[in-house]
Amino acid sequence: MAEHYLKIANESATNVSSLSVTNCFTADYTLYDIRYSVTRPSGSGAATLVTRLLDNTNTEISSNDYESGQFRKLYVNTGLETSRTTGVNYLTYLGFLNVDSDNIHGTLSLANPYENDRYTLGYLSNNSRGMDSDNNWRAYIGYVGLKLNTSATGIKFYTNTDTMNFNVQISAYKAG
Amino acid sequence: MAELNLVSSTTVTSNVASVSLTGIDATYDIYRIIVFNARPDNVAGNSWQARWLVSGSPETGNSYYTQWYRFRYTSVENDLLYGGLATDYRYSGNTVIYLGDGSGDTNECFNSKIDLYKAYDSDSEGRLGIESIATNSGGNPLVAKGGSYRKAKQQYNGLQIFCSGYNIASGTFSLYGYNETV
Repeated sequence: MAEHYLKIANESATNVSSLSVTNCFTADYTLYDIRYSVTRPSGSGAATLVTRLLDNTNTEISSNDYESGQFRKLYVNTGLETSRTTGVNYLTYLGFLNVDSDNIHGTLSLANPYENDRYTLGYLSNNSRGMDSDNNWRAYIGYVGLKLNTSATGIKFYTNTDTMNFNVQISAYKAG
Repeated sequence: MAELNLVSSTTVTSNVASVSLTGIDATYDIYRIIVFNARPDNVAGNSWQARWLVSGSPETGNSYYTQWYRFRYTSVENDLLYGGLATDYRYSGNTVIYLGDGSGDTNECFNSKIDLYKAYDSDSEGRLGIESIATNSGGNPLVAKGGSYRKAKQQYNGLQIFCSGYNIASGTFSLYGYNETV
């Protein structure tokens, strides 16, 4: 029996400031699950992890057309924090790697990155350690999106300052 | 995830009132429906809904309970919580399952992952998990994340999906099954 949930990319790299998965979104699929983990190696500095989509020339889509609406800061014994952004030039902020071994991991379910007649939207479930100076674990859940009718064929995870260890796996649903 | 096996699928290319996906039985532990890029036949279409099927016929009583958070960006922060704690009662004892909003204009469509648990167990209510990723009327992107159940223990063999007040103009609706492995 044919498989209908297919792993289409598996990329990893150590001690780099970014990892791009290119040519992974195609006309063959509509709905993707992007699983990622990023860990701060020993000797690296504090850094913020961010992600952007790539267009069909593997160029970052950096126009101010991304937006999100999320619950964040779900760690123990604190209140719930909502976060909303619009008109920004990145898909979403994923966390802060504050000290050695801090890590960020999660799943982004992304719809329609390749289609150029509708927006690219996703559901983010993200967990990070090292969000602030007391190194609490923290979760984000909610919506991320690109309000632009353009074809995205890849995704880039990157930090603003220092090098990290990246692992990204992408699976896709095959329609019946 | 365990291997995902196709049970049935329907691709809509011209207007239909609803799509019924059947084939749920005791073969798999969990069934998953994926709605790919569905659009109604009107740009004002919004509420995507469903009903459980018993022997292929939709169950229409006031027995559906749906709760989800709707995530989106809006100019009013409290709207981020729409469908949340303050309005859980909104979908209590209704005649349909609410899957989320999605419209049919340029930019807009409706995608959804629906997990069906113990659907064919006659000693369990019809339960499902919902993750809908869509753009509704006016070009507002959103995610609906939550769940629903029907307060009746029956053997459900499928799900009927429709867009309230409008026909379905396009989209692919696929039902898969998978078994949890240890």
